Amino acid sequence: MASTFNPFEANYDTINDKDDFNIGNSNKNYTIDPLETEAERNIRTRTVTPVVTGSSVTAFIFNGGVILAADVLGSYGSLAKYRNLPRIHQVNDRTILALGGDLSDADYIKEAIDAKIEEDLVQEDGSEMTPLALYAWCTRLMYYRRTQFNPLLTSVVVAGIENNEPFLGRINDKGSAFKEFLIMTGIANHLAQGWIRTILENSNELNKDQAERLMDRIVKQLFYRDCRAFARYRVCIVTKDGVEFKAKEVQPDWSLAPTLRNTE
Amino acid sequence: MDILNPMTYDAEEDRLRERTKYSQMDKHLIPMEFQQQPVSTGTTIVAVEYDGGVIIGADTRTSSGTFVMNRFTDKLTPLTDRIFCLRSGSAADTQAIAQVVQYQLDFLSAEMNEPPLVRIAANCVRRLIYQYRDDFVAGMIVAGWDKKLGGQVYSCPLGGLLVRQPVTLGGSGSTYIWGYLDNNYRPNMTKQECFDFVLKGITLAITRDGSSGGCARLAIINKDGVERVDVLGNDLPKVFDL
Repeated sequence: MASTFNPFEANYDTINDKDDFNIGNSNKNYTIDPLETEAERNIRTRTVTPVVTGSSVTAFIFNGGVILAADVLGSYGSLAKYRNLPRIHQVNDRTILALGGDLSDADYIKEAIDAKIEEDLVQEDGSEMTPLALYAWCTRLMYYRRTQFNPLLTSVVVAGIENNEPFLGRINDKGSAFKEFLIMTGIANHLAQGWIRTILENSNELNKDQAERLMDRIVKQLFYRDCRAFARYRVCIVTKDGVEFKAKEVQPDWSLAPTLRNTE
Repeated sequence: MDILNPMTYDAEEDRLRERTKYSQMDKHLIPMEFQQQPVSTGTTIVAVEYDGGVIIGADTRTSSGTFVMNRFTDKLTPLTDRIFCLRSGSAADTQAIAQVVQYQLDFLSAEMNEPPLVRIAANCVRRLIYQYRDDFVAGMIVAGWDKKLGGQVYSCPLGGLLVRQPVTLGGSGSTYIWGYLDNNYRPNMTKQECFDFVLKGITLAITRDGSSGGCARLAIINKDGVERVDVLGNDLPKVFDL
């Protein structure tokens, strides 16, 4: 009819193949779709990309305990902005939590766990958080956030002594969790996982000193090859006797530099 | 394309390039997980003129995303005996430009029977960057000494500009040391002061920029030649680090 003539629209049936259940002329050219799903409505409050990030966490089990290492840098993109943010936290005498990835989400996780510890303290029944319990709880938390399309963009490493045995496990931002004798998060997976796994699988159980020296070597290698690494780092050793933290600095070897002039 | 005498603008080639941007087809062909990050000399480069020559310096890191491809890179590339270029941006693009300009200057010095002027070298670099400005990602500094004007520093940034400056910075790490430059640079500094200025600047940038790192390579270029100094990572000057 004359009153419905629109020169900008085709006269025939057009197929809008963006949604093939909605075949027909689209009159929605000038309309705005309301945000229909929960995920869309929450888009402003979600962590869509990580902002301040921690680099990798490395951890492995040795004869008598677990050793972890993480540097103390919070990167703001490529800027090394916060140079004193330790990422390994002690939960109690036999449980350690290490976090990598987005550090604001890491703080959220840590605060949630601290609240849980205080609740337990208040009960005064002597029961303590064990590494396995913490690991299971973190898995539930991370997976729940994943199902809401609002993930915590952090990798969580839980370590400690469980039933007199060393425990080491990792949960990623999708809620995928596993326990292993060697855990690496972030780029350390690509740079060090294969190499260290070969060493640990083919050697006898390391003692504490050997484990510490191997960890120093791993951190040095990551410092060489990770753009977001930092020279100062913390090492945490958990044994049946307790938890020990050490602050260290990488001693890099640059002696090849003068021999490699005029190479690209 | 005529390497010897590249034209500043060729309408036919411009139209042809517009239609066949092969380099950008990778985005559509390869799934996102397998796409490589371009290898870049995400860098810090510094060049300063002093009375009698120039002092240039750069860090030694080449990165591909967050992976350090080469921790001993030499970003001080000689174009002639007395002219160096400092490379920042895509490693491949800058290496290619340096190679082409090396050839052009070599030919030129045979034609003129004397070493080419720094301005000419800088112009060769600039012409290439400008001609392929949509494709190249190259920010270069050309610095050196010649008989006519002594020590000179020319900046040839991304779009294809050529500008002479007494002191200039380049690369991703340079953003962190513009303040240091504004505060600490004075005209007519001595050779040692300039050297310390360049070394300190590179150190400060390495400390803050994730794409810069490793050692500092410096070179002092004057009429007597080029003196290269490598300051290893452990020997860099101490800066506030907490």
